[in-house]
Amino acid sequence: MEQTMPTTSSNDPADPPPPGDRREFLKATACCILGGICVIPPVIASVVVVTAPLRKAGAGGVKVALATLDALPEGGEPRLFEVVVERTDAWTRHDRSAVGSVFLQRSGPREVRAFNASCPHLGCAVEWRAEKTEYFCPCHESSFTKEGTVNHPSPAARGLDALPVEISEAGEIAVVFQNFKAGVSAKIPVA
Amino acid sequence: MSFLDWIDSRTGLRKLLRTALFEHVPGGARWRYIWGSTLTFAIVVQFITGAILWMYYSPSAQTAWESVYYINEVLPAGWILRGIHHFMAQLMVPLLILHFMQVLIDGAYKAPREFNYWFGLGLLGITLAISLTGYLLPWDQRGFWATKVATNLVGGVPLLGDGLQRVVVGDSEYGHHTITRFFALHAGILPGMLVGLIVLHIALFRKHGLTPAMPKKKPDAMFWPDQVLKDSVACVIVMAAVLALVWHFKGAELGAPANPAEPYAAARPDWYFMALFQMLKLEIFQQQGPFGDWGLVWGSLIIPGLVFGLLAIMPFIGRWNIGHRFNLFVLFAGLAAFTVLTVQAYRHDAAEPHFRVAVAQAGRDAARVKELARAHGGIPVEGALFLLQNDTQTQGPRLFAAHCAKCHAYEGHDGLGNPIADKDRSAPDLAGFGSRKWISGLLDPSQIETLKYFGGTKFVHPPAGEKKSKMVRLVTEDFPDHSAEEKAQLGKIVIALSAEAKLPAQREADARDAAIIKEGRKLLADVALDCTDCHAYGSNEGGTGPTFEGYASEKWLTDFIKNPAHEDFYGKRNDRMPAFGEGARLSPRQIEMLVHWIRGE
Repeated sequence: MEQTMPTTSSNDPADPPPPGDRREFLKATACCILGGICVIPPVIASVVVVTAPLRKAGAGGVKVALATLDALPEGGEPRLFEVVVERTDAWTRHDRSAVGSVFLQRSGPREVRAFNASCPHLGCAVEWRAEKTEYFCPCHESSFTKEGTVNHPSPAARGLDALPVEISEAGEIAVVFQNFKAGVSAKIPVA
Repeated sequence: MSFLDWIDSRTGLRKLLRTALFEHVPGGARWRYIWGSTLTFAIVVQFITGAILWMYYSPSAQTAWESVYYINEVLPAGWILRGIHHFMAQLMVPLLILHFMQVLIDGAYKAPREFNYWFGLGLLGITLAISLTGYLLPWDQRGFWATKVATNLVGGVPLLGDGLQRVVVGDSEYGHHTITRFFALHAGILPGMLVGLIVLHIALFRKHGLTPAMPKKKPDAMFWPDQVLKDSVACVIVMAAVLALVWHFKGAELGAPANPAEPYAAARPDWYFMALFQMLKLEIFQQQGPFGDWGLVWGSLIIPGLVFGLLAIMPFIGRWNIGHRFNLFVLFAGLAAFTVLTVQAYRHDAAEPHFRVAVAQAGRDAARVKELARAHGGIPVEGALFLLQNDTQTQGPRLFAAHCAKCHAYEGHDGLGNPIADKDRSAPDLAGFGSRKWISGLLDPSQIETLKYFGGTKFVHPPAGEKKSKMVRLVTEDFPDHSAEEKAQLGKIVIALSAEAKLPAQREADARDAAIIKEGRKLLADVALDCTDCHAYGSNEGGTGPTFEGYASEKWLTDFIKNPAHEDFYGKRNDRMPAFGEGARLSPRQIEMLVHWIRGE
């Protein structure tokens, strides 16, 4: 009656008796299409929801006041300061939320070096080792000079991430806090 | 092909597919066989959407509502995802009923399929348990109070009740442990059991084959593709219905955050439990009923248990033809009872004013807390409830209903929308207090003696042997004889006096009428119409009436509420109103919220 429509699967001896005619083929196609249609809405909604973080706009750096010049004597060791900012974490509004820490060291009468304490290798927290006058990461043993450049050999691909520093007339030190992508030699801001 | 062959040789995929798809369908594909497949589809959708919701849900008393708020209101497409999950759950109940009806009517529950039928009953129970546990997870007023009722029913189980309830709730009070337990049940234990039973259910179905509806109308066929095609069409329709519901209701509802201190008069279970809910209200199950204290146990446990037991022995009853008919009778009688009770429950609620007020108030709270969270840029660490508890618009009417509405009304109701009987109105209606309209009404001879103003007070109904108050006599006896000029003066005085209140709603009008206000103040100061004989204003010391300095302003109203019998206000002539600032009747913050709300701030 109707012409047989050979399909790829019908040649396969492992397959069941061939559906044979065009009708059967159309039915099979309709099944697949309808089956696809009915799971599309939950799947699309799920994908949109799961990938929501990808579409979140970056906040950029945040300026935070950390200390005053008095707290950092000239020729003194680097000191670690907590960075506490106003932040919304998903639904929670935090008036004060710790987001990271920064090393500050006086490098001149009105000059301060600021480094993000997160290791540029893979994000562990670096420490200051006074006896060796170097920054040291306890995870993979990267070390950095007090100027922030990487000591060789170290697994880190770049030096510590320096942060812009602003010093007010009154000697208040503010830093633009920002995290950077770990594991690469370029300093790429993370939103 | 070789790659497929390789996979097949390692896994036996083709054979598996063939077993799955080439099931024998005696009598050919029919629409009445679709229900099992639609349920399987629904469960798959629930697993997908549920797993993704899991990534955002945070099960604790401080974060459950908040995270669901985030899913519903902030996360793009979150409301669609939650909506699909919610409404698919709603649709699963009718699908379960239809599946059950088909099985019973076609006799698919009879020997040798008893076990498969029992697994089905188990699946029914687990599905309802998943629904019940899911109802609490948003931790909103509705879920909280409805589940409280459900767990108290658990507590009613003889002997084991107390312990059982404590194990389910996780503590003696509702809290973190209740949510974590319900979440573990909803997303872990019960779905695990569900999957296990579905595997057994489908395996046994395959072992015994489909029970054809008699008489067979067509020659036998295969599951693939004829029946699969019908099943797919049905699944598309189910999904379309779910999406239509999601669209129509703008996603699943999220009420105001759960507040154990705030009773929720509209606590109701989901619709498919409303019949059971209604059943507990039947006289027969009440304490005065034939079962006495056991009424609750009969209504919530024994009767449903007996019904479930009867369902379980149906395969044995169905061995005889008359037994099968009896089973069908039970099925339809049960469905009829379910329908009647459900309709009764909803009709009862619809006719109940307090229920409607509670629902409306819950709706307002829900909208308000979301608005506050948005305006605040998120929810404070203390949680969403904290936002509502410190919100004038939310607390004002509640404080009014609790502390003022025994005598005062607000637009005729108690602030929350519950009407107040005339006999309970002994003090003025405070809606619009201090506004031009309110003051003009008070000075209207035809209004001052109504319940809206002094109609319930001793100013109008003095103790035997005393006269009505001077104010009432002035308005009712002197004002009707005012000349045109005096009427014009009074109009200006009203505007000037009302400007003292500095009401936010009149800010523009007050600014526009600055000249009239100036004139009105001058009239007051010049003792026009004798107002300042009794009321202090400017250099006039006044007398027994409340001061006009800053009349109805924030400070005036605050001081008045703190102590209306202060000499600036009614002094010794104060009629029954308590001093709310004394004896910790109301905290300063509560008075502040009340004042702000009355003034529309």
